[in-house]
Amino acid sequence: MIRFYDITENAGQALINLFYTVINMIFLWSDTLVSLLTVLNPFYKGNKSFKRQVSFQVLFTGVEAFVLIGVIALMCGGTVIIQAINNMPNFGVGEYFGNLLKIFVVREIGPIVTFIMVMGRSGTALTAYLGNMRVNKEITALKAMGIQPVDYLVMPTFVGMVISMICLNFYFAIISIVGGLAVAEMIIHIPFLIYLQKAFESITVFDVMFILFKSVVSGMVISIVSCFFGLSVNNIREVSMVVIKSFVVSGAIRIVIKIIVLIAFARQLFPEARAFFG
Amino acid sequence: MKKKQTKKSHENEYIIELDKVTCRVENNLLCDNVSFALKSGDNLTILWKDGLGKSTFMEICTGLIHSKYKGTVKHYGIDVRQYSDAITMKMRSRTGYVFQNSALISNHTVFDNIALPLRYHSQKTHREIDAIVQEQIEFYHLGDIQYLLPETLTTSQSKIVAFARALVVKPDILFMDEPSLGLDHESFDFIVNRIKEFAMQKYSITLMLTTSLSLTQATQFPSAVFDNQKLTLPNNFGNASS
Repeated sequence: MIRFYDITENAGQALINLFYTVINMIFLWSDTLVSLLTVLNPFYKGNKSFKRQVSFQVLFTGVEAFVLIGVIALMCGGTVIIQAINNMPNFGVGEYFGNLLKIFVVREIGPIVTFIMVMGRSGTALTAYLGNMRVNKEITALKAMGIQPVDYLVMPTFVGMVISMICLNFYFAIISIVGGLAVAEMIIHIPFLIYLQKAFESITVFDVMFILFKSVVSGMVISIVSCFFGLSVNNIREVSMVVIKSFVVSGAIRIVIKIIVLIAFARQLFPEARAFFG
Repeated sequence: MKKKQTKKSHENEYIIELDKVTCRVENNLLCDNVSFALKSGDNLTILWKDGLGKSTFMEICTGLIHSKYKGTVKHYGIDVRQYSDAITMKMRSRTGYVFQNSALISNHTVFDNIALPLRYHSQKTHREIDAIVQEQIEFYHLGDIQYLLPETLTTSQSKIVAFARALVVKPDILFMDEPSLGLDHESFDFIVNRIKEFAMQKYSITLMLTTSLSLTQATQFPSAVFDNQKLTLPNNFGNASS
């Protein structure tokens, strides 16, 4: 028989666990930033593996995902462009083609698709890798050699992931516009250069900064959450569970950050939305 | 000159000191009131039955575990729990640790595994580090396997690589957890010679936990026996609490 006390106790315990998880993640993030600042200090001569580890992460997360992200960008861009060109004139908003492409593909679809792909592909792999390292006592071996796992594993991953996310997001934006228009030209024979000009005319420095901000936040969330769950493994059975957890939690954290940013800065970021807010 | 003075001052004091350490893991008593102390130049083998928490005890001795036990573990006269993270890591850079399962970093080649502590701690250039590692690889006859990943190595090879990695930093203290496990007779002799060589150095300290009587006999270090959660030290051996 389930008693009311059990339910409240479990709910309370879950809330306490969530609180500690969030606090520990923030500590891991701050430790990573401190470690990064230490390495960037020109007088610091230690941790010579930093560049090697970062390039490995960029290769694994960024370069190896280029084909996958490229195909998805082409599909997203092509679909949105064909639908927009076919349907927008029916509603009398044909001249807003560039803006639609910018807001929908470049600002929203691009960062979210890249985030999901990188999280599913590299974030989960990273969690499983660190989990296995912990089970095989490799993390303990690092500590025994006087090497902080945060310096050696988390911080290079963090830097590599942020660099990869920035590159992948800009790559997605370019492929989705240029490639998407090329696909549309092949299928519905539109004047490629005119539409390309329209699309690029609508993109401003603000959009570039917007993508940059989203990429940095996504890279930070994926790396910190994946590393946190990977390093929290105690036995081999937990590895598969933390992989799922890291995927779900990083998605949830990104949504929470997005909501907070939207609530705090919506009016400043999107002056065009003032009409809706009154 | 200063270095010499500090080394001299360490000669008569205990470098590693366990005082009344009692450890309990999930209601199982691992060790009860264990005390021993090691000075510069001391070597100790602890014969320990398999499956009774040998690795956990070794982690307590090295200061890798700060909780789960009562009593004190002191390194250089200070409780390991009182050291800051930075000092602990600096001290560990002068310590070698050979794990029971070798614990080589799985996505690093043999060369990178051996170079790892030097690349992290040393002020030397990449070229100097590579030369030191190459020298170490030749000394340990690892030339053929230097670009292989640990997953492709045999148990003996992994163990030898673990020794090479532990000794590449020229440590003052060498901790070994079951160093002879899975070694063939040739590698066994080779490893015993390396351990003896290390033990013959001035100021070096060796602490070895093993189940192997043959290793204990081969190294000829003073040996303690761990039985019934109690440690019986050899007669003429230092005990900090006594």
